[in-house]
Amino acid sequence: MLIREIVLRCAEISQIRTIYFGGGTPTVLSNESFSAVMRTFYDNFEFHPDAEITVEANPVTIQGDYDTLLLLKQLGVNRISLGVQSFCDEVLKSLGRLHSKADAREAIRRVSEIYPNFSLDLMYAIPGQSMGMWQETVNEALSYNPAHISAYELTPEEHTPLWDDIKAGKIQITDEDITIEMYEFLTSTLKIAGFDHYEISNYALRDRQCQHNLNYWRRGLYTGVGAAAHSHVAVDGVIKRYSNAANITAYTEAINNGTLPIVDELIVTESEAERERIFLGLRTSYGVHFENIPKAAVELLTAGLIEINGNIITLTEKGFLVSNFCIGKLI
Amino acid sequence: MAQKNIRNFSIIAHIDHGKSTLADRFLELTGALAKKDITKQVLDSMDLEKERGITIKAHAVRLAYESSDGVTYVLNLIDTPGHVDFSYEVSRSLASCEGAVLVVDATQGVEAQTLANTYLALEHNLEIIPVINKIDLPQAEPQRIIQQIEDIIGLDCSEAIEASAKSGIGVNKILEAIVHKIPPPKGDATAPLRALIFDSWFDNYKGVIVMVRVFDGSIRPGMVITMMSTDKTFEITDVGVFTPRLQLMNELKCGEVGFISAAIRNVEDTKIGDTITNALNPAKEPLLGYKEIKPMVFCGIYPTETNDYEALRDALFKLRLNDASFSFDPEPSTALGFGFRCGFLGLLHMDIIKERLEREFNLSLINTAPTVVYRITIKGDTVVYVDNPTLLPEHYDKLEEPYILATIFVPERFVGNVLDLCREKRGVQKEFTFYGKDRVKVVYELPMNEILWDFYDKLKSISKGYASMDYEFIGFKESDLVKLDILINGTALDALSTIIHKEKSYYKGRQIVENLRAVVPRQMYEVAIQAAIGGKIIARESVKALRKDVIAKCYGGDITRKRKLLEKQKEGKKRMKQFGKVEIPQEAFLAVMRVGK
Ligand SMILES: Nc1nc2c(ncn2[C@@H]2O[C@H](COP(=O)(O)OP(=O)(O)OP(=O)(O)O)[C@@H](O)[C@H]2O)c(=O)[nH]1
Ligand SMILES: [Mg+2]
Repeated sequence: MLIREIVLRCAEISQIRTIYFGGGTPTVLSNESFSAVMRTFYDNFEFHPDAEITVEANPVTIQGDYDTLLLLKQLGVNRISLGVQSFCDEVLKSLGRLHSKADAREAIRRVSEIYPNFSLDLMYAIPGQSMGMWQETVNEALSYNPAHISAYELTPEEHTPLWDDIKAGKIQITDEDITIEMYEFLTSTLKIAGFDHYEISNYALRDRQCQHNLNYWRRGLYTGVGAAAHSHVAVDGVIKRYSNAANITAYTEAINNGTLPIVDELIVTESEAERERIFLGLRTSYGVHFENIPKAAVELLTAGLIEINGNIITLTEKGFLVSNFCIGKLI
Repeated sequence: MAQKNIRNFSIIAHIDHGKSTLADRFLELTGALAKKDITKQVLDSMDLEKERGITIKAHAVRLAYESSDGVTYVLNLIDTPGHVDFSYEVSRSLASCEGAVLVVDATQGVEAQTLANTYLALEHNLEIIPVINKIDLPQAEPQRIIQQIEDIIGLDCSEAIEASAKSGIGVNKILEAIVHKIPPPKGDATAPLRALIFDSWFDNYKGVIVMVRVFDGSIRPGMVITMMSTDKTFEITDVGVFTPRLQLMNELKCGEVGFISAAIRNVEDTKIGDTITNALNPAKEPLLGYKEIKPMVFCGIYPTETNDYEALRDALFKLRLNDASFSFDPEPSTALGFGFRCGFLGLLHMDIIKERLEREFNLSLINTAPTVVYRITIKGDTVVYVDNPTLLPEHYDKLEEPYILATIFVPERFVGNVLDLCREKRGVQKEFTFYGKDRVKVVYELPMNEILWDFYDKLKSISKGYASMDYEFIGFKESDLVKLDILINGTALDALSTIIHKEKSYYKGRQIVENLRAVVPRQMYEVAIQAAIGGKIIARESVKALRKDVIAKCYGGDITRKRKLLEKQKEGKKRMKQFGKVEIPQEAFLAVMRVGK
């Protein structure tokens, strides 16, 4: 199915710079299918010489599977992102993760042997997670010398069990002051370790920024394949964002008919594009260029939330924490 | 149309008893509109009326009705609002009529505005046709309701018509009663023109459109007219009627109701209640006109965008054409900039006017908490009226607040609750009467200030919706009142000041400050909110500085959703007012009134 869609999409893509295989890939795709998909890419598209090809993996599925890791490497994958989240069993359980810290350690060991360019996903402000637990997790993560770390504050989303438990008062969300302390510990520790805090939740060693994600924040074009995947394309000069049908039957039917399974197509107007540019750009340490610095910037500058260099505004570490507020003022 | 074949009447009733639905049936039966074109309550043409399911403005329509006697009559119908805040619309409409159809809900019976509106019609010496409506409902008790009307209002109901405006039962009978019982308009067709202005509005194409009832003479395009109160003259461009579609006519004859347009560009030149006469052959005396109506409830209205001040002023002038019962005067506020002090007949009226200004004129507005007018005596003999708590002088001899006489109808089983509520609101009982087995009329003198906030909602909730209330202003009385100021970061925010009864001031001060804490968004710095009486702080709360407000993840699939989220936040910000470094949302101004007890 995926292969057929990739072929259908040939027209949208000129050259491949990055590919990102999202959550759970190795479990969903057998090694054979994965090879077939990669081969389709190589057969149909031209690749940039430094193309970044990432596979997102979770510790349970990847730990014992040395062969798969090698195969991926042979097929051109050059970056692995591991969803470790924490090195504390209690916390992993509270998150409902299937892996243990032992699984995580084993997975990292295997991955790091083959892929120097690997990233770890961590999470903080998890119910039951103390400051001490978080410090241990961050320090341990650094001990494996990852090239990249993504660290997210846990944000309960509506319609999830976690959300319901919080609403029902069964689970207490982490106190704001502690969450901020965790963030501050993270940023200062990673800074000392030589990481560049290049996006609100992302940190990288020199030149190891995730090219694929940077493309999102720079409003670059991308094509998503598979059910529920999102795309940002330019068709005859019109900029559109759309997603594929999330419903597998609808998705399959469309592909079988030789059509694209597009739903929720949205034409991005000029002013929307401008607001996207600002809010996405301000998420990164590269900031946003303003033709005219907005008046509201002065206030933010005095409060230490932004920096201004020439016509470029960037958020400070403190500014990242209240980025919605800052963006609201500058948008 | 011969004058003797014209019938001018209003439909009056308590709110929701079915006036507009009955008007629908009249339109249908007379063929004014095809059945398929009659949406529910067709005459409620404003979006706001449709959304809220209530009539806000009186609407006039002309119908042609062929009676069973073979004669075709012209019926000028005016559908009126039922809510107490709009009773001014009712009395204006009645002044243009010879009769009124009184609609009473057969399941609800006589309620406060049934009584009040009937008395208005009697004051105008109108022929009243009682109609018992909604008899299609299983719980309808027409006989009992007829008895109630006779007992409570003293109106002869021997010929009352039982009807259903919904299903159409009895509607023909009502039309027959209208043509046979209501007298034709009197008026002298040969006398100099006298026409009463009872409504007007601004039309972008035609300019000011004026609704009139011709009492003497007639009016034609080309005629030069004089507005008798201002002596301004205009040449009539068009005359016509609404059927309900606009239809141009050669002439509006003596006794008729219709509109005129006269290229009146200056909105202030039209006054509702004024008399129009022929400039070349003027009448000696104007018609009686309307009693000047005094707004009772005041609030400040400010544009959220400071440079919309002129647009707001223009909008107020235009809207006032359509509703002469609200007032406005320029008012500067240190917190809100330039705006207007506006006066209304009640809270619903205030709400509606604000919403109409926003919708019809595309404005974004902030209003301060509503207040009543206070009478203050300074230096022994100088009397001033204060409609803005900020303007209360520091020293005065006497401070009086307005009182109302409230007439409440309530089923017996809820009467205890009503008495408790009135007592809690500093009321003094004036009357207590039983009607039949189940209906009680209680009359209370109450400080208007107390009924302003939440009295009506409470009355409804403690009576499961069965109590109804009408009130009239009776005068000023001295009270033990104090001014409560609200300080934001140490500076008094004038628009948040209130005048309240001393006994309740501490409690209210604390409540207001708590309410404010809940609605003032966190800002870059901590915000202190305090309540003070005469410089003494009585309550304090603080809004902690904003420390975290961030979206953790934003990748390819999230971009559109997150952008919209941020835009929505931004939209909310626009509706806030900057006060020093603090952003104050609209809700803050209303938090002052959302205080229990
Ligand atoms: N069953 C039944 N319902 C009716 C009848 N007449 C009106 N209604 C309903 O009563 C409600 C109020 O009707 P309206 O015609 O809007 O009442 P109104 O008197 O014009 O109300 P205001 O203009 O707000 O004072 C609506 O839901 C109508 O559908 C009737 O004869 N029978
Ligand atoms: Mg109505």
